[in-house]
Amino acid sequence: MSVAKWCFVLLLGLLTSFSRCEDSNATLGIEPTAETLPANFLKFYLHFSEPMERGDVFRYLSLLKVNPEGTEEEVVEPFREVELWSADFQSLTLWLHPGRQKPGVNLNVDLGPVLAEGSKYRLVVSPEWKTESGGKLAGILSKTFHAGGSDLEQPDPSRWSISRLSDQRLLIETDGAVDSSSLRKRLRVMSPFLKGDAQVGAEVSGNRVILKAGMKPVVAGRGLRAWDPGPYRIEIDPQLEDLAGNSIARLFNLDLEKYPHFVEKTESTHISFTITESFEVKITSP
Amino acid sequence: MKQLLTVFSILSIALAVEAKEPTASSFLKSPETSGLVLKSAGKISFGPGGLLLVSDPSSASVVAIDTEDVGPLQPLSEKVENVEQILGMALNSEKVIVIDMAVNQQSGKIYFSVNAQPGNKPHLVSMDSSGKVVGLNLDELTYVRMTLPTGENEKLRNVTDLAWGKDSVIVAGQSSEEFANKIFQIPAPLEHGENAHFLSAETYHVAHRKWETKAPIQSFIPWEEDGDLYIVGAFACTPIAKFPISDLESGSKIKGTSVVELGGGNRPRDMFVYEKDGEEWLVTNTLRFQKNLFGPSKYWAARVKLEYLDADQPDEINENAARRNVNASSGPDAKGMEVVEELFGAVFVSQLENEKVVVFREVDPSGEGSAHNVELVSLP
Repeated sequence: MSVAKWCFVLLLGLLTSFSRCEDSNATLGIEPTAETLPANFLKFYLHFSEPMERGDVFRYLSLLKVNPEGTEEEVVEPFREVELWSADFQSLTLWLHPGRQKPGVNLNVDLGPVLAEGSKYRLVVSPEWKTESGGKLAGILSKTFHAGGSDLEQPDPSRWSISRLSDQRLLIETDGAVDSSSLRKRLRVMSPFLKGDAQVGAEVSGNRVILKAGMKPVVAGRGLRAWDPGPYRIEIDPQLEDLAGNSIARLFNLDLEKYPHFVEKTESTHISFTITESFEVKITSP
Repeated sequence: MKQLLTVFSILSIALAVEAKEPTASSFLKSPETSGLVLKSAGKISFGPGGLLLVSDPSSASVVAIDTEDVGPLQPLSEKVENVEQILGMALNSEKVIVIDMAVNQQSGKIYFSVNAQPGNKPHLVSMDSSGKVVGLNLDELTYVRMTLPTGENEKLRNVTDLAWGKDSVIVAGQSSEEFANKIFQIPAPLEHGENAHFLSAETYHVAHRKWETKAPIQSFIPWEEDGDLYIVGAFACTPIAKFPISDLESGSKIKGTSVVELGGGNRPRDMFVYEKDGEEWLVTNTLRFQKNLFGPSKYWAARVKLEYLDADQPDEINENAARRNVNASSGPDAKGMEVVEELFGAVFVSQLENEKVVVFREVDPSGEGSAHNVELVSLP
């Protein structure tokens, strides 16, 4: 595992409700890191510091509803039980069942949504879950969050703002919380004098996206770095999703009977901007 | 009932046995004869002539293996208890997790894809009629590996089902980030590389009364009707829908027709078709989300009269599709959608021959253990 990724997992662990014992040989970070998630939220990402035992993972995962008096009750069948691992087997995409989260689908009607607005929950990973090499996740690892109002809007990059925090960090404030994994795949920063992937390792917390200086000069010795003064362009794939599965292309819960001629957006969105000599960010288009 | 020619594997394999052809090798082009390494072992299924199809979702591929296991037919003689323990001993592993099971209709041998722990080591294991199990030596197998194509920035992360149909391999899969329905078809001869067509599907949710483009297929069977190839698929929300997949360009979008609603709160696992006393049935075993209605186990199965798949008129499809009467498990009020008591507790079901199926059954639903039995079951 790369040092950068390990640091990323550690950072996530610190940001989330995170506990570990001294003898733990594997750590866990959970995304999203926000303390409030929309009631129609869809996906957690569990990032482990080493590969985990696979094939029957849902026995180790549970979602608890935290009652106002502090007691907890298990939410019945909250997950879509398909194991979706990253290529290095260290990140698991954990879906809340879309059939329950999507209004009007039969599971939603029969069982109700997984999350209720205003309620408090705790996602729990069992310490019984072993690593691939047989090691332990010590203690109970969990993330506590509140369910807020449903997110029923598509991401709109025309409402985003950009600012330079330092020579290492560029902040994008989106119009709503975006899905972290989707963001890392669907957003690219380009510059005529730099190459690389600034989105790799992006920190995503709510609507704050911090891009690191992952790009290198195209011409050796030129000495420029992201985010030095100069022109930049952000390219956003229309499949970029928010926390409720709404993408720039379409709403997650799109009623195709009501909009039978709806056509998904397929073109990328671009935001051009310049970082001035005084390190201000000026958006030049759109 | 319209003339239907089902292409579920039992018939093609029966024909293969009768005519002593074709062999698995006849469907493979330029196969490798050694060096097979699986990154993962997922869903498995059999094609004709002992052709074993193994999904390797971690490498976004499907491997077709010539097992050379072509009979004679020797079905499992008696129930085998505590299968995980037997598999663990055979693999010298302290713990195994069974990912899927498929029976070879030509020999009766039962194959398992398993994860051996610790280490997540993928294995393929066969069980003969006496219950004896042997791990397959992957390095000595003849195979081709077929890569499943995905769009830029979209990696396939799991295969929910795969099957042999009309001289092709058909695969349903899902990526991590997007909730989408990906169907792949790889025509024979099967060869190394990326030769699959892929389709995205939308269907009508009967209860939702809306068109959906995103729900992934959980399990399916290939189906041929009037010369055209379809897949009949079940979703996590349990409408059963029919999708045409003949003669489509790769990347096409296809629209399914919902024909049956089994009732919400069920997760379909396997599907197959059989005939008994002049009636044809489509069976799906499922895992029930809600409180158990059919016994101590969450696993149960329903059978649906095959004629429901003929539905093509507006008053019998989509929002008007037939729904299972949840208050009648059998008899006239069930209207041809019945509970199959013989499959209570069935985690995996694989069809040996018509009404004879191999069942991987939960032993102690209330326990935290993972013990399962394997047995041969005759359907009603």
